[in-house]
Amino acid sequence: MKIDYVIKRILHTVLIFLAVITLNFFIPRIGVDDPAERYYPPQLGSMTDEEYDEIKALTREQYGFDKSNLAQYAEYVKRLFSGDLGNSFQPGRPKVMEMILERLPWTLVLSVSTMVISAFFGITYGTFAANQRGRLADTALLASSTVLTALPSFIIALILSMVLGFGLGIFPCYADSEMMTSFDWSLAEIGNVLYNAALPIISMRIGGIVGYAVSTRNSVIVVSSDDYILTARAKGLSNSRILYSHTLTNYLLPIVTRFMMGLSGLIGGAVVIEKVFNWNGMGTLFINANLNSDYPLMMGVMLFLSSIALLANLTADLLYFVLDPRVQDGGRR
Amino acid sequence: MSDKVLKIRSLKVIFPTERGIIKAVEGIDFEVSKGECVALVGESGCGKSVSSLAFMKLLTTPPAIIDTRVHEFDGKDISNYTDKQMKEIVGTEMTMIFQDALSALNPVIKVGRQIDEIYIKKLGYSKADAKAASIEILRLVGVPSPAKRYHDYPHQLSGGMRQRALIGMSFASNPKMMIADEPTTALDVTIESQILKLLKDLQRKNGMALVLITHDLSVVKRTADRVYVMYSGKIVEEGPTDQVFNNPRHPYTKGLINSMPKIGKTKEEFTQIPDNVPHPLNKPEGCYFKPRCSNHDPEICKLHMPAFENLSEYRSVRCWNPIEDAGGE
Repeated sequence: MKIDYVIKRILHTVLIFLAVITLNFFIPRIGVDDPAERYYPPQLGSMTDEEYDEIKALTREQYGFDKSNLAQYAEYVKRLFSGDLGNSFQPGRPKVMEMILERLPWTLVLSVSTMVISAFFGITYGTFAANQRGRLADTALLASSTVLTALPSFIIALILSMVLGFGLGIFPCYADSEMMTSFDWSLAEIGNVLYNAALPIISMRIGGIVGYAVSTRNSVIVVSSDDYILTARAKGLSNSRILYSHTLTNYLLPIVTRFMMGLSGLIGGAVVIEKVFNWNGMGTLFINANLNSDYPLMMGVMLFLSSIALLANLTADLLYFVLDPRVQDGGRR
Repeated sequence: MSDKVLKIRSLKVIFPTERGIIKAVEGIDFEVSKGECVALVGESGCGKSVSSLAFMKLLTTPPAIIDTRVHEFDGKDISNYTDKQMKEIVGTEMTMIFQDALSALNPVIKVGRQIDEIYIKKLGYSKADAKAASIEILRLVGVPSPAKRYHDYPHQLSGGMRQRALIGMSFASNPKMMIADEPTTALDVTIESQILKLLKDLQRKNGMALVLITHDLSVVKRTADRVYVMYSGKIVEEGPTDQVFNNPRHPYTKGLINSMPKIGKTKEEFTQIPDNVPHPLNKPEGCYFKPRCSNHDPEICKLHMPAFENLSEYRSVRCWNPIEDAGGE
């Protein structure tokens, strides 16, 4: 019964993954843009229409666009399972996989640290606010949460970069583009990365902290009024024992979901933030791929982002399985 | 030393709310002796559960405001005990079990581990000793194959088993007093009588005082030595169970007894008390029971709350116009 659940979740994930591959392939092709035209704009050459058509046809053949969509799809899937994401349309036709792997760490630096920081501060403050229910710490949280969660992170980013970056000059408004090519794991370089990452992380995490704090506060309050907490109190257990072994184990469940879903959301959010701060990660890569109708690169980035989201969801499901014994029985009762 | 395990005088509990002050408990006297089973009976919302939580000082203050003139447990005055002092006796000397064992047990911790907590945290056992003791207590309360059930989570046990486990948990420390708040309400009748029998057996075994909070008179009749009838925050009648049942003096008690379903009773014989318990924010003037009382005096009952008067050494009633003594005591 236990293994059933795990296998079911994994199969489920695999099915969604197949759907993702398919959507990834067809979504860029919905656009009317002709990639061949993109690389050889008509006004640049002084060639005749026939010559131009010939070049476009050659380009299509070279990029594999002359075949039917289904044939291209079959080839794409075949290559995908041998670990090949194809080559970008960019000059020099670099491998998509290599381009992504080069940028991925920079995006992970932003999103993982944002996630950990916001979860840590949010959960801590939320627990505190729940214990201070109705007092200043609590009402301030609830009052500010509406504004801060409604405010898109790129607005916060613009304000921060204006005030802290441009105005006061404490942090750089733009990420140092040299940083990413010269990175060598020395302490100075790590410090430099953190210095450059400060504003993007702060602007992404503000809403996140408040979100975590509010949902933690609410689940602590709900769990605290559960009957088993009264039982724990009637057992004369110490307050910290009640908090850590009875309250925490139960309120962590919704937090786990939030954390994992937050990961997929953050990577999406990073796309915009990276653009604002000129951070050379997956987001910037994705925007440029779109602007250039670089199908293979678009597909590759989307595949990576959706795989991360899928893995995060699977991890959340499996963590639930570990944390909540009721799930192990298939949630039948 | 007196054999009173719990002695309460003039317990008041109020909850200030935005719409007014809720007087949940309005000065009740209560006591239970060693080896005695006392029931506190009343309809939902009469304040019996709040009282029982106040007996153990488990109400959170604020929001609750509690006042007691006397609060003695086992001969000690605990009215001024701090939280820390209370934690030394709550869970060991005085324990409590609740209505719905499924929600009263933590869903993500194994049943056995939840019993272990008492042994480890309260009685200072080692882990291994606690496990052995927990399995032994599960056996004592009649859980089949206790060593196996020890590793189960609450949702994996049946309702009766869960209630047994909960009883075992509150019996683990050989308490001087156990409060059972509607212990059988969530169970079907066959399991109900097993659980009541178990509670009685455990009580006799070590002379524990048992306080039964319930709205079910049949449970009271079968289990309790003495009974307190509570109505809208006040005790309205008190006495030995058989006397109260055979010879109720308060119209409310009589109404409760008449509304008990019984095999062989026809529909016409089955009566009920009209209306509901008054809303705690809107209690009537004079006697709280007056609007529902068939026996009330239009003058005095409307104006003044009757005092709680002794009828005999063991009987007391709060009524201007008690039902006539049927004798036979």
